[in-house]
Amino acid sequence: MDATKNRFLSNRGFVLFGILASIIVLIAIFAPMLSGGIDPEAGSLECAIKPPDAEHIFGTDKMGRDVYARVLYGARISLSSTFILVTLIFVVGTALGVVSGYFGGWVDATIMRLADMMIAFPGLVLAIAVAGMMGPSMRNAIIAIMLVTWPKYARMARSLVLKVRHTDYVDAAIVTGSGTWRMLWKYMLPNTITTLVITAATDIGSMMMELAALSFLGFGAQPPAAEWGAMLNESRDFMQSAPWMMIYPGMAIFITVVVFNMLGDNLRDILDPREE
Amino acid sequence: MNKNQILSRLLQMLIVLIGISFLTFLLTYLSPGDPARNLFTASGIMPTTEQIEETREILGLNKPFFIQYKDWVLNCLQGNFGESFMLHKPVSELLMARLWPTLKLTLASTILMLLFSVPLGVISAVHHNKPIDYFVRAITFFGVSIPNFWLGLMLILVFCVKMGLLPVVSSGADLESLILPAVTLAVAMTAKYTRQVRTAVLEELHSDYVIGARARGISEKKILWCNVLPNSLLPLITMLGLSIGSLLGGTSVVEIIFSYPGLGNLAVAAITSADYFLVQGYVLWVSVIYMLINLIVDISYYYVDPRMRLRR
Amino acid sequence: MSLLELKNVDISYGKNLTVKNCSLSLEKGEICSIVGESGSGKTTVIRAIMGLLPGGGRVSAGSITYDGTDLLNLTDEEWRGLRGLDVSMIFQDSGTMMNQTRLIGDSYVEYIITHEKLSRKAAWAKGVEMIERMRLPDGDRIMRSYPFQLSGGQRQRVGIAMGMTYQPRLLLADEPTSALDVTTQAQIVRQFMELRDEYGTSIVIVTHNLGVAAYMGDKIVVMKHGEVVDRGERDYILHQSTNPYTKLLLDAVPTLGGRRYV
Repeated sequence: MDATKNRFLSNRGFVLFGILASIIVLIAIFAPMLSGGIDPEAGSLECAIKPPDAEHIFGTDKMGRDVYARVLYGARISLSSTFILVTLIFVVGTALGVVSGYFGGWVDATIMRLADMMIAFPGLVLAIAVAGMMGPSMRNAIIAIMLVTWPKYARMARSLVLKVRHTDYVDAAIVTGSGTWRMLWKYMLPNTITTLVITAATDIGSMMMELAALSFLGFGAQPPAAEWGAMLNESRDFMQSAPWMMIYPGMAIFITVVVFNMLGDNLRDILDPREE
Repeated sequence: MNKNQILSRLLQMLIVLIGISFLTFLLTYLSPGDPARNLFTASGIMPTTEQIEETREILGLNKPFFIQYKDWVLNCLQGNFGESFMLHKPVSELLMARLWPTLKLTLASTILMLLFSVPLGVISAVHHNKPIDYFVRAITFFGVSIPNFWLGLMLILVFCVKMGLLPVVSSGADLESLILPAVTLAVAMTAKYTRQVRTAVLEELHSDYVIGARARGISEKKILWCNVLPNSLLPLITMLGLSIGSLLGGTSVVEIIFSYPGLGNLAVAAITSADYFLVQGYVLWVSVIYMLINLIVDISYYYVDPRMRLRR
Repeated sequence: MSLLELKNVDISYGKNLTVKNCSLSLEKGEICSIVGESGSGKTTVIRAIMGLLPGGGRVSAGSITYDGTDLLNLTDEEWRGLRGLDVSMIFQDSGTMMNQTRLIGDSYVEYIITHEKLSRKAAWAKGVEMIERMRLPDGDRIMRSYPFQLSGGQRQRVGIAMGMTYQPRLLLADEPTSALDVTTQAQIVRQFMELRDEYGTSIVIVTHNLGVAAYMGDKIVVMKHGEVVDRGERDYILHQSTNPYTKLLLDAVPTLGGRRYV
């Protein structure tokens, strides 16, 4: 156990970006305190479109809301929805993949043809269509992206399961009467988990961007919610008069994505030393 | 690929297509909102209940689900994808008009991407673990992490608003209006491909034949440009096909930012105003194009790589 | 002066010493066999002679001279004048040492025009001629094939043909017969011997097969774990050596009719 701990702690990149990621998480948690109690969704039209000054360090938007507070609260929505999304994809994809690989036959055929269908299709298009048709909301955006992303995880889990499915020790376990659940839980799942955790970790950044993109298009978080993508969408009409409305939320997404991408890459280097 | 393989691929495509058409139809069927009502509200009329009922009858919306689906599929097969509520024009005509601008944008960004990613990837691989390699890798890292909608907005802010070099709104017709959208799309793609090229070239540089060529006294330049590079670009063909395919359907964000009159822009408008026939037509079109491109890519790959073609 | 001389050569990968204190000398027209199990460092030694140590290996001590030239301090330019012209190398599978996506003829022509001002057509004809001289009928068809379309024996003959194109003074052969069946193996070995007789080529052959090593080598070097454990003229190694490892290797060679078939 100590060796594992050392492997994580001796990777400088992992430690650095782990700390940075924790800071972002802390910002999300303590957003109310950090924003000095300013309500991100309330503003008065008298102070609309004010450039950054001592009172509003990131300026205000068209409704007179404080951009700084909105960026801080945006971390809450972005992080929580991304983590829900990644967890969902991970659970659904892995479960379907493991089941598909373990049982084979028609179960496998059905699940994999469904996956083929999703993959034989540009992801964002379907996500936009699904999110749009179900009605715009963050929940539906999450469902939409999950629907088009799970096949990647399912395929991976399936191939990993197939590698051990017909090994002697698995056959032996079946012969000695291990139940199906036990087989899945004890023998199949552990074989897939490392690879899929790595994949999930490296996917956090791009999932965050896709959610923000849907919100930007108006199919995710709805006004007046303080979500970075949605804020960028609102900023478009004020590009000339209030560029701060677009610079800060954009920076927030960019920095967060960089940090989580870096964290994911380093995690992969630690867990999967084969890569470079 | 021989005839049988192509036929079986076409059959697979057909199955996927049936699945996708069913899914889209189901989705529009289940979605809140009433197409019959939309037909009126799109023209700014508040319809009476009788009017709605009458329209529902005309549009066949009162029939059972499967009958509706069957009618729609049969119409599509005859090239009739219905009429847009929003624009009062046949769906196929609308899509056709938007296809070329999106295709232009896709090709432009792909060409830009190739112009940058291949040299960068090669340089990075040849100078493996040297400063320039780290530099290129850092750039690609930022490239994949920057959201394209923000990048697009920032480019507009800098080049159009502040410097006034380019028009803010793209007409889609001239080259000027193509530059920024194409650059925006190309950045993330370039970053992704630079990494792929780098990995592929590195792998290829470690092949036995490189040692063989060195042992024969072939110059490093010839090894790189005449052997390693062509070989490492082979697997990229497949990726390129996938990217072009997904760009065709996935340029919505960029098209909206630049008000570019392409397919993606039309699709988002259609979804927002619940223009069902248009959405369904769009999804079908994009998936057919996407699958055809992938098929063409696989076939061409088969002819380009002698190992695929000739190995027993 | 010897044609090739290795003096106290150490080869290391990072901090690991892979080959320790290896010495070897070779006269003109002489054949030297280096024999040992896999991992004994024998391949590393001839790769080092060619300046082609894979993956960050380097000669960390000692000297390698060829015809009076120090091989350890050559520029890329000087190497190109040597490799493929004066010194050739033949590998275990010459097929994989050629670009798989190009015709053998294309690789051959690329090789010829690197060293000689010839038109493509003339270079192609020269390739065909060399291949046919290695007793491969229909050289043109071979040239128009991809490496993976040929049998192991055919590929190896193409490799030898390429290696002998410019009648090098020194031929380095790395397990050139190990991937072949016994019949083909015998033919290829005989062809090597003819090269020496015809052109006076000096050969260093690396093999794990003591039978091949003894048949070909005027002298034999036995390596184990990166060190030379025994060396000498063929007769000495086969009949007089008291080295236990050499004896062990000898015992592993199959006998035929009471006579050791080496």
